[in-house]
Amino acid sequence: MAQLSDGTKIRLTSGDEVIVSEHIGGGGQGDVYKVSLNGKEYALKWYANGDIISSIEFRKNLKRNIEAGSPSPKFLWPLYLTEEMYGSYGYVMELAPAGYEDFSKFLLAKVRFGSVAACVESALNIVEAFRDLHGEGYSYQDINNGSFFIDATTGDVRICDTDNVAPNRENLGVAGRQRFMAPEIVRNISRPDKYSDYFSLAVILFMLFHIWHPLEGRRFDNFPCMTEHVELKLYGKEPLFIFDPGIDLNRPHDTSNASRFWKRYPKFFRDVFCKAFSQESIRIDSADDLDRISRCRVDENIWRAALVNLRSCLVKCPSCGADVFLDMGFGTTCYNGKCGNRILKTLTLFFLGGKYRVPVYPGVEIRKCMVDGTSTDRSTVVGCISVNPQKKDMVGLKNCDSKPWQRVLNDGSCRIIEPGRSSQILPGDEIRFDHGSSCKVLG
Amino acid sequence: MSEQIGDNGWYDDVKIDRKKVVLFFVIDTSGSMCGKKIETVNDAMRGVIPEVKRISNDNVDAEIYIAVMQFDNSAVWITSEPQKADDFDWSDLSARVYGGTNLIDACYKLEEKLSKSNKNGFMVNASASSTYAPIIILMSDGYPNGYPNDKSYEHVIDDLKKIGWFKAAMKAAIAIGDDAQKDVLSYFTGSMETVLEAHNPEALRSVIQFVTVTSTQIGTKSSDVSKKHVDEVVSKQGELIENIKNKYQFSNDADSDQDLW
Repeated sequence: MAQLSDGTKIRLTSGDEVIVSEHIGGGGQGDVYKVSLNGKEYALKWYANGDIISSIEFRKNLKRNIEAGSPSPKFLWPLYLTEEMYGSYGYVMELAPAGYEDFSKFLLAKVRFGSVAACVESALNIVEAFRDLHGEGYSYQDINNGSFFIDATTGDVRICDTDNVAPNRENLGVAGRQRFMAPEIVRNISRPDKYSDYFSLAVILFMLFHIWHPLEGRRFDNFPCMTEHVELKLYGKEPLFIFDPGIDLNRPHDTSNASRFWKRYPKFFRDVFCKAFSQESIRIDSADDLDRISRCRVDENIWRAALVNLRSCLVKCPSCGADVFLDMGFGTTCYNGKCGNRILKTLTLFFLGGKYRVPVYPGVEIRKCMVDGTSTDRSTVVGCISVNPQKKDMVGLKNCDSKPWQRVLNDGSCRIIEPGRSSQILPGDEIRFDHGSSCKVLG
Repeated sequence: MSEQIGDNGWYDDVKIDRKKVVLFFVIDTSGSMCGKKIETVNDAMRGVIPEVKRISNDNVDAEIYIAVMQFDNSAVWITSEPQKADDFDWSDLSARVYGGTNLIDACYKLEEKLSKSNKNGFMVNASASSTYAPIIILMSDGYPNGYPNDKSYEHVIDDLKKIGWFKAAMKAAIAIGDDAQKDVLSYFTGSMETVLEAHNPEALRSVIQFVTVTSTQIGTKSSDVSKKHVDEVVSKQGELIENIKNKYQFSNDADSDQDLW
């Protein structure tokens, strides 16, 4: 299939016409071009893969997705279908905004996040987009390192290659690459679905935070080279998380990025990866195991809460100014080798029965979703951990919300924290918010 | 904490540990390659190397290294060891006037460098952590010395096929012109489908470009998941064959069968 030349006109089923202006990428399924439509620039994906071109189901699904619209603005969703021309067809989508970089460039260290907070924000954006997608009854089916464009400064994301998205449990032929697919897909025991998306999503998140693959440890040294059969064994038949708490046969080398980053994250966050890649969640020997792995996989809600909590733990080392994630419930050592400052264990606020956790550390913010169990708003700041200006060693909780909060002390007595005011908090205290939500202060 | 400007060294010293893929070019420089053929090979190689560099640079899974051997009366490694694609520049090869086609020596020398026991081999210290299977592209316009009566080349290729790295490698061959022996080349690659013909300079340029780019794209990525049977793998060699078929589906030849050298 020859590439489309600049200036080629492609008719859309809507009756409009796009004009090809530049070839901007290509892959196994086809090529992507910059095109103009009524004076605005878009991207055109033009198929080169014979199986896709001849699949009536694939085209029908694409049309259905266009009609349904995108489940989230984070997806570069198909907007218009083209007519069949030159022995193929394609679809038109938005271009990734200028400055958004391919996730692969982050993995190759050609681009790095402007801040650690931007990395956490990108993870939240990815997780929320997939939550929206799955919530609409779809599965993405082929999550891999080429699926994302990320703004390194803000952590905003766009998710591309959405043409394989189909109703959950429907598969239109895509099977993906072994390194990113769930073991049940690698082994071809089942077809890609929401649960295999959960696995691939965890792989992407691990790579985002560690610049390393979660299954690639010392065990890989035992094989002379990576072949298709070795991939099947290590990603499919015998997958083993490099930091599996119970099996240490696949630990990464000490100098690897995985080893370097892993210890910088709080235990609660590392535990989510341990659960996502636990043997219960990834080991599959037959179709009988599908039910188990679907129950054990970590979904977006768990990731989202963990990431919101991770963001709450991100502070500056008071000694050297480096970014440090406070290890809630433990003391924290600054990762900066030249500093090594020890930050003592802090009190922890447990919101909504422990779903959200916030270290009692000056400057840490409280978000709306933490004080209102009905809200998913993780951006609006409703409070923060403040320092008493008269007593620098006394930290408290400041109410930045519009309604008063109630502090219930150990002895049952109450204090009202009016909007704009702060109150000291002590272990055992309970803070009650509007909507009947509350948080506990634990030591 | 709303103010987070700069990563404060968070990403300092990040290591990019990509797997290595060695791309071997084994090129016939016998007398019959003199003139237009070797010029075209050189020209095509100069054209495709930047493409290989781009694939290597953009690839998260693997980094490409290049090794080049030429053979005529005997075989010689042009690269003393595989060179990073990024650091590699094509040096034009010269064909040897009246030079023979010592494919046997080429196979010996290849075997030597692929052998695990050879300390000076190209694949020492390799493991699944660090290496994908190599890619080997053989180009020839003739037939081995002594062909067709002397089939000793088959024994040498048989020995080569016992080497794990060769077995695992993705292999393709380019038969240049009418005299190239496709059966010999297919004995080397393992199938007739991975032997592409080129009967004129334009076709040769195109075939070198296609085989090099396609094989490196396939060879430098994690393999595809099978859609047919449980625990079946999609062979990269099979994927290469599929790509060749798709590209040249209307003809067994990569171009017209008229020799235009």
